[in-house]
Order: sequence, then C-alpha cells, then structure tokens
Amino acid sequence: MFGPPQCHWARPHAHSPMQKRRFTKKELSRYDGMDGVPAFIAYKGRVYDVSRSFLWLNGRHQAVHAAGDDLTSSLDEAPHDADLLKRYPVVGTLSGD
Amino acid sequence: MAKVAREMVEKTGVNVDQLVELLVKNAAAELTTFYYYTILRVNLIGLEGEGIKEIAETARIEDRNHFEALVPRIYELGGKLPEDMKVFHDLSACPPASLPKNPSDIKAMLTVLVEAERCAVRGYTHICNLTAGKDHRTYDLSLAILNEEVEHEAWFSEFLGEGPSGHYLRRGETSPWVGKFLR
Repeated sequence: MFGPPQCHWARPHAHSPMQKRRFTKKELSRYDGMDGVPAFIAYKGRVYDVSRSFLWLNGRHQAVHAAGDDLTSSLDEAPHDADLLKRYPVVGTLSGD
Repeated sequence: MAKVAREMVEKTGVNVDQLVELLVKNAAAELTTFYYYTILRVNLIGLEGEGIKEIAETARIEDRNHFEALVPRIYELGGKLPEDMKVFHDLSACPPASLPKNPSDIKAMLTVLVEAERCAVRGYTHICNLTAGKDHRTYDLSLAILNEEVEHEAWFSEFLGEGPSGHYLRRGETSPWVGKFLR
C-alpha cells in the first residue's frame, strides 16, 4: 500500500554536491523544498542538502522548521544534536549577507 | 473541539496549530511504527530473533496505544486526522522502521528498532518542552508516552550491547504510564 517516501529531486538550479558554492541568505531561502525544489538548510555557516530526508518532506521539519533557513540558533533548542547533520551532503557555505 | 481548553493553551503563548500538527505527526509515527513493527516482529525468528520478539511485541502494542491516546487530544485542540492514509503515513514525525534487507541480521533489526524509539524520544521531549507549564493536559500525555518510549529505547539498546537498561520487562499489562489515557 505504501511506497517509499517521495523525494523531490527536480533541481531548477542544480548543483552537484561536489560543487560547493557560497549562498547568501536570500539565495538559500529559494531552496525551500517545495514544488520539487531541493531543501537546503544552513548550520554554523555550512549549507546542507536535506532533500533526501524523510523528515524534511516538502521542506518542513517537525511542524516547526522550514528549509531555506539558517537553523543555527534553532538547533541549540532541538531535541537532537548537530551530529545528525553529518548524514547529509554539504553543498556550500552561507555568507553573512 | 474543547473551545475553552484550546483558548487556555493559546493564552499561554503556545502556537496551538503548530502543536496540533506535531501531535498529528507523532500519531502518524505511532501508527506507522505499529505497522512496521508487525513486519519486524514476524521476522524476529531463530535463536537470536526469538529472544527479542517479546519486547518488540510489547513496544508494538504500546506504540498503538500511543496512537489511541493521542487522537482525542488532537480533536480536543481543534485538529483532525488526514482522510487519506497515504498522506498520514508520509507526514510521520519519524522515518519508516523498514525491515532490513537481511532480516536474519539481528543487529540490523535492533538498529531499526532502537532508531525508531530514539526518534520518538526526541519527538516527545520536544512536545514536553513546548508544553511544560503551559498545556498541562498535552504535557501529561506526552510525558506518559515519553516514559514508555524511553523504556523501549533502553530495551533495544541493551540488546545492542550499549549497557543495561536498568529495568525489567513488562509484567502484566502494557502501557503502565499511558494506560490512564485509554480507560
């Protein structure tokens, strides 16, 4: 009855995980995980691609967080530590702009 | 919907719509875990598997109880369950506890089980943190579920060789903490 969770891999602005790039906050906000756009989040200056995570389907996480955001301050209050981010590819860095 | 009960929670500053969404996501996690644990349980066979089957069954039944206990609170707060079961599955707060490729690999089976419980422990800790001192009824329910999820984690963790759980298996009825919400 249930297939595997649907992950959205359509990449309107495709970037190979190997091609690290520098994101501004505005650029990062476009990767909100909705409508087939990849889901990127930032933590301590690194940008992670969480598109393949079941827990980030449609760019939302636990009803509270949205992709396209810098979650550095939020993660301090999360019930998990930052080690979980090691499961996801780093696709770039976040500039202070 | 329990109108005044919802108002009381809103007055404390809790985002009730967000809280309801979290409760629905965790209810989905419980029911889907009940389903996936059914598959895990029937595959826990042989000399090693049979030793784990009993606690997997207890965890499975208690996860179903958690689903049952969460549903009334969702509706009290003005929420509802999705009509489409597939939608419900995909909004789960935890990933599917799928059967490992090699079900005779007991360590892989235990890893699936313990990861599912750890996801639940994180989820209910989060809800307890959001509601502590604000939404007493949701907090009481989430804490009851958390107590059972912590025990589930400890049982499977013990089998993985991570150290003693510190307690014994259930004696008698399941859901010693959540039971009061089911009567």
